Amino acid sequence: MSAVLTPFVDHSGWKEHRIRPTVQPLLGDTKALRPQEAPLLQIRELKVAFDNGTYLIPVLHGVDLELRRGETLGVVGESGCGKSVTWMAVMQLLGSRARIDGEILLNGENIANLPEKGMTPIRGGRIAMVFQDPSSSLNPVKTVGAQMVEAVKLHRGLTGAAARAEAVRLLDRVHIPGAEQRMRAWPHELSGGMNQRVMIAMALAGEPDILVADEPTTALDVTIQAQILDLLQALQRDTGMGMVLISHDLGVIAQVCDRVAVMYAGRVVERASAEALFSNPCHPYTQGLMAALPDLEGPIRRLEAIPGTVPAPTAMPSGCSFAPRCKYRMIRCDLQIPDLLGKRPDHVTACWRQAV
Amino acid sequence: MNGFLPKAGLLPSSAASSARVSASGVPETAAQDAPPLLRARGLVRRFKVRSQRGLFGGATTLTAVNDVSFDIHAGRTLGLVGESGCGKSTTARLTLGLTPVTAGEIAFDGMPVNGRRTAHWRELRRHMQMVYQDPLSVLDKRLPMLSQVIEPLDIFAVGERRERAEQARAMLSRVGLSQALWQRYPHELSGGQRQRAVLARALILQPRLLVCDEPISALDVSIQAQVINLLQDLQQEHHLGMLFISHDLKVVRQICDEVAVMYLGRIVEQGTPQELFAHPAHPYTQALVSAITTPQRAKYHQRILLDGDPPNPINLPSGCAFHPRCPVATARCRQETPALQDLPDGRKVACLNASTPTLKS
Amino acid sequence: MIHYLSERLFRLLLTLFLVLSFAFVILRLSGDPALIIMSPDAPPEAIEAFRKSWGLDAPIWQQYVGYFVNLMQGNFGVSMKDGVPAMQRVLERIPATLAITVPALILQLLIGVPAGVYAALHHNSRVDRFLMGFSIAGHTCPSFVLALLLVLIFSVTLGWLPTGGYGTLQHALLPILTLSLSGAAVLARFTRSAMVEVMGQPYIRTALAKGLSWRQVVFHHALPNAAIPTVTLIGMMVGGLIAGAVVVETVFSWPGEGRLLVTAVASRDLSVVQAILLVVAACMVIANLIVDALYVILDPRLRSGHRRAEA
Repeated sequence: MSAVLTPFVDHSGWKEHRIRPTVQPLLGDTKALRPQEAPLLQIRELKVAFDNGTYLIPVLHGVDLELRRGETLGVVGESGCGKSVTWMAVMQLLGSRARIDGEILLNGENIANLPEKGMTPIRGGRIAMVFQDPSSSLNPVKTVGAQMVEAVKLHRGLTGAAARAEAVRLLDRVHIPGAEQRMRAWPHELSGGMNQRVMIAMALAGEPDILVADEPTTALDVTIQAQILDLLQALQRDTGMGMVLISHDLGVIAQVCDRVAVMYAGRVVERASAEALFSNPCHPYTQGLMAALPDLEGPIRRLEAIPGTVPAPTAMPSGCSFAPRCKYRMIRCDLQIPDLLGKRPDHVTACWRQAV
Repeated sequence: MNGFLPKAGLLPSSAASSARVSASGVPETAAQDAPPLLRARGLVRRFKVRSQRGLFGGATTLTAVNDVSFDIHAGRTLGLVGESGCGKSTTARLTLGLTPVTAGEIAFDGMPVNGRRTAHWRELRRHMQMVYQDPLSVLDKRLPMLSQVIEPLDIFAVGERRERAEQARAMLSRVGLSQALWQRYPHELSGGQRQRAVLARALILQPRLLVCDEPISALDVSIQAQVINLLQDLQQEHHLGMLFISHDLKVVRQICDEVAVMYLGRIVEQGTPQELFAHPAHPYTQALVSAITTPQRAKYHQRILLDGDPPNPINLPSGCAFHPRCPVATARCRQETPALQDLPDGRKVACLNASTPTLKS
Repeated sequence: MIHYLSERLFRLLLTLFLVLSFAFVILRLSGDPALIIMSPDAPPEAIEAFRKSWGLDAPIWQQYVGYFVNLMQGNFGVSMKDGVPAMQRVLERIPATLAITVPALILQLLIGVPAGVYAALHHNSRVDRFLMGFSIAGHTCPSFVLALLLVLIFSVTLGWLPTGGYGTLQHALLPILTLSLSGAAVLARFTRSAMVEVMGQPYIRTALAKGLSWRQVVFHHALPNAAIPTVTLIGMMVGGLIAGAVVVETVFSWPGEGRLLVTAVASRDLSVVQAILLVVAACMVIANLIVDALYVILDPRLRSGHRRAEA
């Protein structure tokens, strides 16, 4: 059954999606020239299932990701793809019903299934996380100052006035005006954008090596989103920490990230540098996502919607999970789950079309 | 471009897209000459709010909508964009007569629309409908989809009983819901399917005006595309006038024939999407457009960052409402409230310093 | 905030007024005190004389107004049985009641709240189901059944404690135990659901992500939030300190407020009944007022206008 495989790089519909750089990039792309150092975080074959008492529902089916110091990794996908679950599993915030399998190497040390005692110093101290809805992510009955000082005391060992001073300095660093007064404010008195800045400041208190931002701007207005993204980029430049940005918004990812991983139904389906991904998306799902996005420039054309819906975790197709919706579907796709392959090691796709 | 046809079936193919836009962005003249389906003039809506700051709660006024005027024509879409606090949702409710105006007039087909629940108001419900952001909260949790789509027909006693079910089934198929889903309950459907059901219910009475308040924000990107295409097709078929409210400018550009940008209850700029987004004239629009993220722009794009938070409609600034955050504000802006003026290319801008647009994208 | 509290104060007075009026009317309609206090065999003239001396022959509205006028002046009436001022009767029994209800309340809090918190932290586990089963049992079992069960176990079978009466610590133990068990059952269930709700909130996830230990998260972040709804329940329990033990006092022959109420109602001793109701209602309403004030302290969202403007 050797089906004739169509050539996989199909540029016919894609000309209008190439980036047209009218201005030289503001930052030189020196990251590619940096000597290869060991990655800060490596996720290997991460599988996560939830135990509902009767059986296990698998949600992640073997995720491989890597993060280097000083780079921003974008994880993009729609609801249910497992992008948040992946990073919550790294932080072990999934609760007692989660069963985690695989390796999560933080500077070489495997922290997957580390007992709670070992995890607490890592949370906030080495990996910090910022969440989606800032206004409900802060404790409503504690002042901003109390929550900041708590983080500072926990990770820096400061007390009293020194802790307060550090908290104010952190709030300043995230550009909260009048930081000293804001220490006495309650979360509900601040806007969404302010609360998100507070969350980011709290995350920085532990001077983490990695900052994971899970949809940090989804609940915010566009102009505030711009401020927050700008802040995150500046902080990353200054501290050199690794950053992970989780989003369903391709535009946000394109703006901020160096490398991107696209996830679908609990697997990584494409992984590449941001430029490579957006100029030459290989996986049909990535192509479909980009075709479904309305433009801001260029002619207005009818959007190409991806037909069908994401499979439920309990009803996953055998073989490639995207096959039922894919326009390049082959017989092999239904039988065998594709590996991440690619002509170049830094642009891999989980699609059998690449295997030509 | 073929394999990705949405379930809806009939596709006008490229006819729809070219009817929307020609290269120069000149809208169809035929529709514009006809009298507007809906005419709103000088809409104002104020709320009394008790602010509990400090010990004593004094009553203050919240001005949600502050002198808004627009026309909606049959078969064309007007987009309202803005951030939280700008008054777009309140404007939508005023348009439909769901809230009474504090001042101003709305005329639908020449007849006034007011907020009072009279028989005339109920009759108007046949002609104007609304689609909301969260379909789950507007669908009855205890009725299967088919019953919910038949219900408007029952309310207005349209046709014979037997025919109503038939019509409802046809409508559900038209919006792309397969037969298997007709007897399902809302919680058994996905977000996109629910929104299609809401559309079916809204359009079963063949209204002439459809108001959409963030109808796709809660949906995934690939589903958004399906629903956008569906909306455009349905608008073409039923010759609907549409008021489309969104904070997502990319979607607005895709769907709308005309766009109005709102800030703190006022329209600050109005024009066709092509001009507005390519060359925004008002400083707020410029900031808004530059803040949008798309894969095409990536990192080579210089964003305008506004200071501070989105505004609070309780304490309106003096003069131009945008001046506290405006990068080009002058002393005059603090004192005078700019009115909407016409620019040579047909656009309207409310800014004392409105530049002829030179902003690069 | 002053607006908030003054509104509450107004409601306190209104409630008292309504309770007393209601009691007034019901008592007058439910039987003639004269016939009950003086036996039915007594000669009609004696009964008439009794009525006259107590003002029971006046029209109801006159009695009503007269009652409130007296109230304003601090005159709570006199017991029909023995002529002692009604309020004195009421007040002298309070210590006895408090002697069992206060320890019971403390015990309830000490048992119920930790049980509820523990059940919430391990929710849907076997321990949780076990604790909640007990809670439902304690909650649905009428207090006299529970009391009699305890008497059966501790007095009759084991012989450790007396079956009733007043005087020593041993006499007080069973009443206290009965009260606290049923109260703890309710408190446990309530605390559990408040905690479960709080633990599902995003800010708990943030606190954990910060690197706080579970203990720190529960005590510094979860409990202060779960306390807010629980305080309502505790407030009600405090309000019931005086009259909440009617059945228990009767079963154990404990000479407290509850027993006084029962005997006074049985004998239609109007002034005493009304005096008790006044004290109990005032107690309940004041407890609620304190709870409302506590809310404002515990929940900062109530202090400055929390509602954000809608677009």
